[in-house]
Amino acid sequence: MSIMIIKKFVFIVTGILLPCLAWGENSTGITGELDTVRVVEFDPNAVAPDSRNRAEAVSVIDVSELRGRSNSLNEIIDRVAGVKIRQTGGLGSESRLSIHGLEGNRIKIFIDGNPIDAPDGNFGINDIPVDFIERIEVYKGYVPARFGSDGMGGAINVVIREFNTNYLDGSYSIGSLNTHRSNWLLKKNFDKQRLEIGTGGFFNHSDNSYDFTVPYTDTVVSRDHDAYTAVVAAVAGKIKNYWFDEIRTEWVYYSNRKEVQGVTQEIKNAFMESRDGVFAFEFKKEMGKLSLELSPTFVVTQGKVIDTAHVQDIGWGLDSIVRPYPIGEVGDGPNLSTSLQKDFQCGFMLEYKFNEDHLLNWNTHGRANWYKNEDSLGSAINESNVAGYPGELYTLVSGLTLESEFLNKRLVNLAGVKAYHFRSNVTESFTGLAARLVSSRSEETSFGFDEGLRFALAKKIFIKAGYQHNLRIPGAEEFFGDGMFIIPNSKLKAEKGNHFHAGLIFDTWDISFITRVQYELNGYYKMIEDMIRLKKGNGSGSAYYNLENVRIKGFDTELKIDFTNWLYAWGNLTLQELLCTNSKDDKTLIRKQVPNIPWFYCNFGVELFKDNLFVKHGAGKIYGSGNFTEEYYFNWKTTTQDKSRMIPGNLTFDAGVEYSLFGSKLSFSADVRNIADKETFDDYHLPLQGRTFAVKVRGSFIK
Amino acid sequence: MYKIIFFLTAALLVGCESSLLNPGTRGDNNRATDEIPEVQARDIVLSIGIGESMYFGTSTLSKDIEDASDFYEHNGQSSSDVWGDWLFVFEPMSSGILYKYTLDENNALSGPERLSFGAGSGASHIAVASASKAYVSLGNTGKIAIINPTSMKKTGEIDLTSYAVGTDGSPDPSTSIIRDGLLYVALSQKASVMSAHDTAACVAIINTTNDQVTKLIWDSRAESLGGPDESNATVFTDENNHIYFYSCALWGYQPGLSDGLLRIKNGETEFDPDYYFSIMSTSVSGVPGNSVSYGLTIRYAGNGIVYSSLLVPGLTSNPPDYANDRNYQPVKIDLVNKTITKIPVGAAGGWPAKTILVESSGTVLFGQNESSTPAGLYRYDPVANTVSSSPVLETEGMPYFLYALED
Repeated sequence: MSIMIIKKFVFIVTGILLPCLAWGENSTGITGELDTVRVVEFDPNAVAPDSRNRAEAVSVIDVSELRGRSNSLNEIIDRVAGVKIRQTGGLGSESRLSIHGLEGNRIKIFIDGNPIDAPDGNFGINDIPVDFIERIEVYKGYVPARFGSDGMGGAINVVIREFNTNYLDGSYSIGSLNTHRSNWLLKKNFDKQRLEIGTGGFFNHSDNSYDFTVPYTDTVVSRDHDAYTAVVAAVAGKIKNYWFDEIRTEWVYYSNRKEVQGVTQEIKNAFMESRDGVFAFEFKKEMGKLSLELSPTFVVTQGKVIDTAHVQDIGWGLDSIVRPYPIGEVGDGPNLSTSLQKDFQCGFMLEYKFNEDHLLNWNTHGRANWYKNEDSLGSAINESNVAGYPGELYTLVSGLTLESEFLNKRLVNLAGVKAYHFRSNVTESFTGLAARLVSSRSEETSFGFDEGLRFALAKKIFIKAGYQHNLRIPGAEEFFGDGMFIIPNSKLKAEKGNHFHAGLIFDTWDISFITRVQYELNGYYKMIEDMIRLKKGNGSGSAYYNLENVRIKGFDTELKIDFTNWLYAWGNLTLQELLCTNSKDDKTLIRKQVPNIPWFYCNFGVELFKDNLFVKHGAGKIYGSGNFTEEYYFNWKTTTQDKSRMIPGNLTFDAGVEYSLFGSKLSFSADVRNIADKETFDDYHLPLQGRTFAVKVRGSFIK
Repeated sequence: MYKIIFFLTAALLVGCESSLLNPGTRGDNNRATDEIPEVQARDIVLSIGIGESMYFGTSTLSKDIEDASDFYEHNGQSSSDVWGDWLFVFEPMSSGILYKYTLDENNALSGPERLSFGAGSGASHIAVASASKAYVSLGNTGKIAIINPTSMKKTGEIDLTSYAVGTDGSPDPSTSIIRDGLLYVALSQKASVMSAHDTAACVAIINTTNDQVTKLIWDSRAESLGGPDESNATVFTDENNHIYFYSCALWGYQPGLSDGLLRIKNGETEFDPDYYFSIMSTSVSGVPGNSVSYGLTIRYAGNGIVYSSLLVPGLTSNPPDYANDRNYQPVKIDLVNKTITKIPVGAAGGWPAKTILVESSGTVLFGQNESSTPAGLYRYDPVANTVSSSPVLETEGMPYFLYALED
């Protein structure tokens, strides 16, 4: 593990915000910007909008059936067709989300439509308890203009639950590897005062102490320095009808501590910690057909890396280096760094509803990010600034969307335009040939647009097609570097993408003896320009550059069958091809498959239900699921000589039981993951945990 | 209606299937599987960098392009050396493993055999004394591992930690060479990856008979001696059996550090007080500012001539642009007259700047990746002072390590 990985981690926490309480809209679960989505009339069972009703390529996960289980958010999203989440370890480890072949920070994460940030592309919302979530919307290859955000690979929008009533919810889960997850929500209404207040939070911990085989050797060791602890506490308040229909505020405190686990080399002391403060506000007003939202948010993140050991192990027990001064265990020197990020974001949304069938939405999101990093110890040892230099990044994205319905809602049209602007101020150091500092400024303005159609061929058959031209603005780390091995690059341009999709949805009830059949097929074709990739120099330096153009084509398909009202089965698969069509770095990469991206994977599962089991209002479920991922290349496919640099294929199975009482107000569940206890990998030489168990109890009370 | 839907679905699936079901093969060359491949004599050991990996194999200069399709994949920051029929590959930045490949009768590689020194050991630079004895520098631990390269077993260790400058527990053993039964190991005396102790150039001399350190020699004219790339590509002997060591002055990371070539004359165990050649201080006509910095490889060609590709600060972006900079200029260096002459070819990027091979005919192969021509090996004729206009061997990816195979 390099020190780059450590430094990345401190960014992740900025993504773990706003999970508690606030930004939901009402108890129906149709919230925020999704107010604009209408349910088609011939779908009487729909509550939340789903793929059938949308012109976009979107999958909507109703989480209500999963709250009693100990599933993490990552596990739930990973089962969606066209989506892959690659873990690097246990709870708290980095994970990387890809949608239709595009991954990392090309995927935008939103909570209730508010963008959250994981500047290095790591998916940082896995800490959010599933119990807090109403539903998850997965936009595939499409970032809706109404979100007013950049992004080009797709988007995840997590819609948080909220209730108009007094409410208390709590759960506790305990599992293998000393894993504990608990959360609470408490809300109280004061109707006379037109006031609602609430509090919530969670506590997550795992030792992540599973055994694995050290790469390149046959040695089996235990991860004994991989503990992770995260705590969130939040308070929120909402007042109504003080000129604004609603004024909300939420204050969140987040803290985590993560030990650094060695893989090829034992690490005993290095760890990272982070603290975040979030101060968020939201103002809403409806004036006839016009509605307005304003949502300023201020986030302060402080991350620390502590790697000051005097002893460094060589391999696992082969030798050690002992020094009278700190040498650190990770990378090429000690680290005692503190990074400070200040992030101000403000969203502004105006929406005009012409009538029941036509709606215009204008959403603008501005952001200012200031970054500063210090490492007095590392800089003193290296006799140069290894912490990097301050940087600033300003972005403004504005989107205009027209949603229309025609032919008695059989035809839905979605048209949008976006304007993007960013400016970066980067201090760059030329360390290779005598230290020189240069301040560079980069600026870019561009435009995107999209058009989507959904047509109901019949009551049970829908087709859709769409196109989007969009941009992804480089992230803070890509501009600023990490101060040591990744040098800044102020010349970075935005990545640009042209995305086409077409889909077919079939949803019918009561076919012969089968209760319900749902089938969906999505094809996609993308052309991405100026993809950003980290390129190593021939010394120890690296930098991000716009290097490749890539063409992606593929499809995902999913089948869900309710055989009876007690037996349900589902399965999906994704097959895709990512080809390099041009490279500024190496022309011989052209026509090669882009590496380190899964190209074929599938998920499947079965569930059995029984209502009124044992007692009235008691319900039981038994469920099992599996995942298969074909092996793929870590690097550009070049040689047929051996497969030493392959990420092996995985086939894993999970299962569980759940029992609930009092209409799901009290539930118990037990889950087992990776039943066959196989050593699996989602990334090169980063082994994942084998078989694990977890049990969970949850109670919720509404008054 | 249902038939239409299922037909459309099937058509889409089939359409995708033809090109998607095995995307990993899309980049393959179309090779006839029923042809019996002709066994070609292989002339060189070559490594090629592509993306995150480096590929090692043998090739021939009589083919047009080397696509590395039968090469062996290693970490992208690997290093290598050749001794007899063996190719050694280190992965100092990742596994700490030494891999040994063996050339078969057709000069194809087989293997590898492995010997682990542990991740973090900094294992690099191998000096082979015999088929049963070799020395591997463990830069981070400050030790020299003694191995049997035939059996790939570790047989001993030489602890150099007591020779570390200051409180640093490692003198950073690196570049090494064996002459007349003595192992000469450069001690880089680094304080960190980007800084060195303010001390003179240092070489430990070890008797390969008893593996005892006989003496340390110092020279204040250069500092932080040792190879800049984890291979012994900057230490060499001339026809007089004089040893030359090179310091790249930590690639310029530490201002004020002195670079240069030092010599240990045949039969002596001290630096030659009459010889010192600073590359950085030498003016080079034809490059911006007439100024050069350091080289990654220095290959001796005879008669006091060496070839290298030197970083030209005037061609380097600020900060460095690893993707687009072409800033390593192939040069001819006269060790006797202490002059550097630009070879009439454009500058290369950082990776192929490592690639230099002096052929038995006296011509020189350079790695090149000028933006207007394909990457690969280009031939310099020192008599005509010309460079081939097209690659002698085009490479898929960037050439890096290059060695000649002996007949």
